[in-house]
Amino acid sequence: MRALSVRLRLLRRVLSRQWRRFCDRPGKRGLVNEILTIQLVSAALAGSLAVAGLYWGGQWVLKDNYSRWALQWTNELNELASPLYLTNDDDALLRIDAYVERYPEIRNVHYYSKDGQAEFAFGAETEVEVDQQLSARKLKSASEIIGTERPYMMVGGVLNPRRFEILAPVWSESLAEEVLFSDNPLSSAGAPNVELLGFIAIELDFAVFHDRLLGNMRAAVAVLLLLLIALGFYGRYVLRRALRSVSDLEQPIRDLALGDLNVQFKPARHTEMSDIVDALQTTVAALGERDSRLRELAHHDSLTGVYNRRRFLEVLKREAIKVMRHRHSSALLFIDLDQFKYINDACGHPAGDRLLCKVADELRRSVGMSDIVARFGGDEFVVLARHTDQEGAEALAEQILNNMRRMAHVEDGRVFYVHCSIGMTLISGDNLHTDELLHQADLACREAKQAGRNRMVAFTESNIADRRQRTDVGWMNSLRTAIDEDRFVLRFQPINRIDSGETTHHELLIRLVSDTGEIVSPDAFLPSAARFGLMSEIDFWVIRHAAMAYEKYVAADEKLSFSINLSAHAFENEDLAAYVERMFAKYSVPPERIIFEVTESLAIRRPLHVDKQIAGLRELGCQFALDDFGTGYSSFSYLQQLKFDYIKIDGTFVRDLPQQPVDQKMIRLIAEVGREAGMQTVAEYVQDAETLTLLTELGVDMVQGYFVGRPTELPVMRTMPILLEPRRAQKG
Amino acid sequence: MLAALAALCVGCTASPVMPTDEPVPDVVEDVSENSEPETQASVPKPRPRPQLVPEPEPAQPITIIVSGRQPAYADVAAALRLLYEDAAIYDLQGSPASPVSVIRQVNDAGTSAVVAIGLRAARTAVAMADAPVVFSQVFNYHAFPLLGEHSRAVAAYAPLELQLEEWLAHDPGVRSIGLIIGEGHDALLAEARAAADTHNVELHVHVSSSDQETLYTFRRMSRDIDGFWLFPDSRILSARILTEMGAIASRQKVRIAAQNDGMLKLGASLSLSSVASDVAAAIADIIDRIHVSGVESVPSLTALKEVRVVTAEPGIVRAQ
Repeated sequence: MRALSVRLRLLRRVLSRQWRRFCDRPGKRGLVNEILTIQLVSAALAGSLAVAGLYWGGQWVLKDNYSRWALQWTNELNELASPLYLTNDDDALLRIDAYVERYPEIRNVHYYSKDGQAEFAFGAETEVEVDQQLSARKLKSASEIIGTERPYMMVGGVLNPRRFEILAPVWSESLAEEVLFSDNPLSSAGAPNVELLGFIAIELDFAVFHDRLLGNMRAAVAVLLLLLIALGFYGRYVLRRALRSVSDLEQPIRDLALGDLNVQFKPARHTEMSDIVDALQTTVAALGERDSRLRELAHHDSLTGVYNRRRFLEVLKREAIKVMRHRHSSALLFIDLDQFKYINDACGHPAGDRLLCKVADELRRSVGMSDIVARFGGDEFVVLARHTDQEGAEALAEQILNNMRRMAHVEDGRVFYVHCSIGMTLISGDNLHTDELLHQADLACREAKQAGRNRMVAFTESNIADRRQRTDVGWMNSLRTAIDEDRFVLRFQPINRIDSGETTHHELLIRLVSDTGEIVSPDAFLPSAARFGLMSEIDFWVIRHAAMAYEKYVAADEKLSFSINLSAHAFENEDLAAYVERMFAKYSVPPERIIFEVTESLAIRRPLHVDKQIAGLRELGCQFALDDFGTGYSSFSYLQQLKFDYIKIDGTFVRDLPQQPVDQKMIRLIAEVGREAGMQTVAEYVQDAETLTLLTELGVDMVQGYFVGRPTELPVMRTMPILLEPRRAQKG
Repeated sequence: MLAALAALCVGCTASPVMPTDEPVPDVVEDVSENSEPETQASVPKPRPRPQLVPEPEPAQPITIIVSGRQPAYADVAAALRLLYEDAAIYDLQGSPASPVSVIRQVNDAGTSAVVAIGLRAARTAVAMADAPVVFSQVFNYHAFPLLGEHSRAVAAYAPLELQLEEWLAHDPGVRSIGLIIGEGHDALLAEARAAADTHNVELHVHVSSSDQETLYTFRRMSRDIDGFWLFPDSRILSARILTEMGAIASRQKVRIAAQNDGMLKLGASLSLSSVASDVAAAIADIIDRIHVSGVESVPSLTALKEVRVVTAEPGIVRAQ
C-alpha cells in the first residue's frame, strides 16, 4: 500500500512536470503548442472529413454496386425463370438453384405466379417466412415497372445497406414475325409483345460488404489517429526546431534588459529571424552608444569635461580600497578658486564658465596621467593624486598654485588672474573614509582661504579641533542658536570727516558671542551663514538691533547716524523695505539717519527686485553707500548710473597707501569721480596719521579705521585730529 | 424495294390489281436495285421457270397477298410477278381495306390459288380463302394452324447445308456453332444437325421458351461457340434481347449468321437469306402441282434450293 502511494505520488509529479513543460509557462500559451494545436485540429478536421467522405463514398459505391448487382441478378433470375413458368423445365430449377448458390449475398429467392401465389423457393434460407401471397398493391406496383430501366422495386421502399429485399416482375417479350423480315428490325419493332409470367422476390444480404467497409473505416480511423499522433510529435519537433531561433533570443534579450550590452545573438538560419537578429544587434549597438554617452554625461561634468562629483566619489572610494589593500598612500586636494564670483558677476556667467573650463584644463595639465581631476561644484575642484605621499602631494599643490598664478584669463579685453586655495589631505592606511577625507580637504581649503588665500594648507590631526569648530555643521548650529538666543552683538566704529575731524556716523559691525564668551569676528561665521541661508535672518537682526540701538543712544547724541551692511540675501526678501519701515517706526528712527552699505557686485548686477527694494528704502529717506569699492569691478561708469551717497574705498587700497603710489592715484581718482558724481568718499582701514594725511591730500571726504576709532560697544563720538599741513602724496 | 412493291400494288385497294402493260423487267430491275444493301452480295442467277408436265390449259389466274412491304416480302412478290403477269397483288399493309374484305374480293374474283407472303397474309388467306393457299416467308408457321388441307408452305429459310457451306466459306475459323430456337422446329434442328455433321462443325442447340431464356442461354453459350446461327423466331426474340446479343457477340468475338440483311445492322457478320426467285419458283411449282394433281399431292413444306449471302464489310462491327 505504501509502495503504491509512493508510486502514485511519483506518477503525479511526473505528469505535473510534463504538463508544465507542455504548457511552457503557467498562464501563457506556448507558440509551438498553439501552432501545433491549430495544425492538429485542422488535420483532425480534414481527417474526419476524409473519413466521413470515405464512409459516405464507400456507402454510395456499395449502394451503387448493390443496385447494379440487384439489377443483374434480377435480370438473370428473370432469364432463368422463363422456362420455369413457360415449360415447367426441371433443368430450370437446377439452374436457378446453382445460380443462387453461386452468390452468397442472395439469401433466398421466391418465385410467384402471375396472381401472386408463391410457387418456388431457392437459397440457403428458404425456410424464412415469406409472403405466400403477394398483395394486390405489390402486384400492381411490380407490374408497372416491366420494361423500365430499373425493373425491380425495394420491398418497404428504403434501401437498407446491409440487408434488403427486392420484388420484380418476370416477363418475356417477343417480336412480331414481320419484324425479323424487315430491313431494320429494331426501328420497325414497335411495341414489344409483353407477357407477364410471374414475380420474383429476392432477399439480399450485404452485411459482409458492409462490415468489411466498417472494418476498413475503423482501420482508416486508427491509421489517421496514428498519423495525427506522429504528426503531433513530428510537428512539435519541427516547430521547435524552426522556432529555436526565437528561443535563442530569450536569454540575450533578458541579459540586455538587465543592462548587459555585450550580449551575443546566435546567427539565425532563417531570413525572417536573421532580419530580427540584425535589428536587435543594431539596437544593442545603439543602446551601447547611448549608454556610453549617458555614462559620459553621468560621470563627467558637462561644462568642463572632467569627472563630476558623483563619479569622483566612486573613484575615491575605489582608491581608498586600493590604498587599504596595497598599503600605499594617495592624496586628495580640494581646490577653491579665489574671487571667482567677481569674474562671474562682472562678465556674466558665460565668462565664468569659460574660466572654469580653462581652470579644468590647467588642472589636467598640472596633474599626472594617473591622477584624477573633478569638478566638485561651483568653483570647487578636487584632485586625486595617486601613489603619492605627503611631500609629493604638497609639491603637486604648489605646482598647481604656481600654474594658476601664471594663468591669465582675458574677458572683454580685461585680464584676470585667478588664484586658488588648496586644502590637502593624505589618503593612507588609517584615513580611508571618503566622507571624512573630503571633509578634511575642505577644512584645509577653508583654512587656506582664511589664511589669506592663494595657498595650500595640508590637513593635520593637530589642528583638527579648531577646524572642527569651524565646520559647517558647527557653525550651522552656532548661528542658529545665536539667532534664536540673540547672541549677536553690535559694535560701533566711527566714521569721521577729514576736514572737521568729527564723527558723522558709525558703521555697525556684527560680532558673535561664542559659548565661552569669546567675541567671534564675522569673517569666521558669515560664509557659513551665507552657505546655510541664514544671512537674511542676520541682516534683519542687524536692522532690528540697529533701530533699537538708535533709540537707545540717540538721546546721548542727537546727530547719531548709523551705516548698516546688508548682504545680497536681504534684498531677496520682498519685505525688506516694509520691515525697515516697521522697525524705524517702532524705534523712532529717522530714515535719513541710516545708511545702507551694499557691495559693489550687488550694485552692479542690480536685479529688478533689488532696484525695487533700494527705491523703497530711498523713498523712506535712507541713504546708500557703495562698500568695498575698488576690489571688484572698479568701474567708474557705474558711479554715473548708481545713486549712492557714499563710496567706501576698500581697505586694500589704504593698507599700504604710503608705499603704494598706484593706490594713491586710484584713491585720488575715486575721490574726484565721487565728488563729480555728488558722492562722498570714505576710506577704510586707516591705521595711522600718515595715511590720514595722504587721504586728506587725495581729496577723500571721510575716513574709518583704528586710527580714527576702533569698534566699540557704544557709539562714541570721537573727534579726530585735524592735520593742518597735509603731506604731498608720493608720486610714482 | 418499297417503291417497287408500291408500283406493283398501285390501286391495291378493295379491287384487284389487273395485269398492266408496264414492262416487267423494269420492275424487277427496280426491285433488285432497291433491295441491294451496301454490302457485297452474291446473288445467284434466277432459275428458269420449271417446266411442268402436263401444262395446265389454260393457266388459271392467281392472287398474291403480301403482308407488308418488307424487302423479303416485296422481292418474292416481284419475282412472282415475273412468273404470273396476270396475278392480282394485294398489299395488306398499304390497303385501307381490312384483310377480311380483301379476301372476300379475292374469293369473289374466283382465283385459282392464293399466294400469301408473310404471316399476316398467310393467316388471313388460310382462314378465309376459298382457293388453295400457298404461303411463304412464315417462319413459325406451325405455331398457327396454317398448314391444312388446302394450304401448303414454302420454307422461310434457305437450305441449311447450303447456308453452312457459304458461312464456312466466308468464316473458315468457325468450328463451333450455337443455335437457339423456339419449340416446334424439329425439322429445322434435324437439318441443322445434319449440316453440322456434314461440315464437321460442333453444334450447340437450345430450345428456348422466351427472350429472357434466349439471352441467358446465349450469354453462357457465347463462351463456348465462335458462331451463332440466328433464326427469325420472333417468339423468343425481342429488340432488347437482339441488342444484348449483338453486344455480347461483339465482346466474345462470336460471328452471327442471320437470315435477314437487316440483322447486319445489329451485329450479324453475314446474312444467309432465301433467294426471292427461288421462293417464287417454289411457289409456282406448288401451284402447278396443285392445279394438276390437287393439294394433296404437294408436301406440306417445300424446301428452298438457293441461298443469298450478304456479308458485312470487314472491320465494321455493329454493336446495336
